[in-house]
Order: sequence, then C-alpha cells, then structure tokens
Amino acid sequence: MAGKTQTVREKLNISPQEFAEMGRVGAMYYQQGNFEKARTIFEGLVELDPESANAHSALGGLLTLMQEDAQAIEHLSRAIEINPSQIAPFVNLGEIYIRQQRIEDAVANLKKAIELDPDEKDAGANRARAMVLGIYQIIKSDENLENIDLATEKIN
Amino acid sequence: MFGIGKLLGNVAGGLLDKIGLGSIAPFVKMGLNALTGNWLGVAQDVFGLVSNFKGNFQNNASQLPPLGGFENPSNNLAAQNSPLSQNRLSDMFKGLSNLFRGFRALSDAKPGNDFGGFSRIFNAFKTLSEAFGNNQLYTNRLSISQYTNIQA
Repeated sequence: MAGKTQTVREKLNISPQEFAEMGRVGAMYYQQGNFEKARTIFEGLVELDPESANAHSALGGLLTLMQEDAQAIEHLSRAIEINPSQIAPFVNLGEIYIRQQRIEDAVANLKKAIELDPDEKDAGANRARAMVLGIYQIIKSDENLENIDLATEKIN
Repeated sequence: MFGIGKLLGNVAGGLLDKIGLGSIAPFVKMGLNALTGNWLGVAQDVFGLVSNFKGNFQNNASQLPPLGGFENPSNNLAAQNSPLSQNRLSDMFKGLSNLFRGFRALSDAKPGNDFGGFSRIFNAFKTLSEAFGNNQLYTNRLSISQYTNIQA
C-alpha cells in the first residue's frame, strides 16, 4: 500500500512552529494592508503544505477580500474539509455567498461560524453575527414578514 | 417573495458599514428578492440566530475577512522567541533549490510539467526573508496590533 505523500514542508524539515510563524508574518502584512506580500506568502504556504487548513483558510480569506470568489471558495472549502472546526472559512464563505446573492447558502455558513463561537469571543464569528444582523434588519423591514411568529424579543 | 421596494437598506447598510461591508447590503436585498425556495426557513434561521445574540459582539467584530489560525492571538510569539531567522530561511532556500534541481532533472523529458508550485514557494521565502531582514518591521510587529483582533 502506498504511503502518504510527503509535503514539501516535510521534505524541507520545516517544523509546524516555523510554518505557523511564516503564516503569522503573512497575517502581519495582511493587517497592514500589504495584500500583495500577504498573498505571496499564503500562496507559498499552500504549496509547502497543501494539507494545512490554516494556509488554505488564510489564502481564502485574502481572496475573499480581493473578491476573487471562485478561487476563494476553493480554498475555503478545502480548509473546512481538512478542519471543520475553523470559524474563519465559514464566515468568508458567508460573505461571498451574500455577494453572489445566494442568501440561503450564506446564512447556512454564517450559522455554522456563529455556532462554533457560543461566547461571542471570536472576532470572525462576530463579523458573521454582524452580517446576520444586517440580513435580519432587511428582512424585518419587510411588511410581508410581520405576521411570522419568530422569537426576537431579546434584540428588540 | 419580499417587497424589496419597502426595504430599509440604510439601516442594515449602517451596521454592515461598521465591519467594512456596507457595499454588500444591496446584494442582500437582491438575494432576498431572488429567493424562490425556502425563504421562510432562511428567515426563521436568521431570526433564531439573532434572538440568541448577547449583544456585545459589535465591538469586537473583525473589519477584514478573518484569516483563521495564523492570526489567532494565542499563537503569538514575541519576535525574540521566533522559531525563524535569516539563517534558517537561507537553509530552507538551499533545501528548496536542491529539491527543485532534483525535480527538474526528473521531469526534463516532460515539458508540460508545471514548476509554478516551486516558484510560489521561492517567492514566499523571498518575501519572508525581506520581512526578517527588515528588523524594525519584524520587531515592532506586535506593537502595531497586526496579530490582535481589530476592534470595530
């Protein structure tokens, strides 16, 4: 039986800590607004370790910002396949699907992100909450839904 | 179907603006308008989620699409404790060069082979080396809150 194919990261003996540090440098550039350098790093990390959920999630997040939706969906979906407990990919898929006017898919993904963070501590999940609240306000302003019995007392 | 003409988009737009997503409010409206299937289920999901919000999240919502684990504050390391250095990156460059030479030797007879993956790794290493070479940028990284969640 064939063994698991070694990643380039493994062939180069790059430790998980070193790999994570590379990702943090990419995140630093991203937060600084230097998206080109962040992208260069995240694309390299995906090549170094295609099994890294963090690398796919980071590249997917950046591509979400760049509105390169098809590629973003590919990386975000892969991140979820590898690690379904990550919040960020669900948040970003929600944003993309809103942009694509696929509200049902958007809400399904935002819901997953929110459920993974019951204490409202994760900034990404809170971004998902803000998106849901935005959708809520638009729905709520429609008179056709006035008669629907929905429990919303807490936020009213 | 929703009466989109009656929607108060500016209300949602204001909230979405706060997280840098004001531009997607019109897409929400159009998307709701286009819902032909389970629109009631969607509305119930949304209302159910909102009814469970505790209310403090708006002050701690990411203003950019989140990246995931790489920006997790618990992963932070002070620059002086970094597991990476210029020397270590040089070693990685050499290792990657050797790997590339071996790969190219094996695939010379197959001109269709894509070396783009190696190119992307080389470019990433180059960018990382620049970051580590820029000591000021790297040392100050924590002080400019790159690794912390942005306060909305």
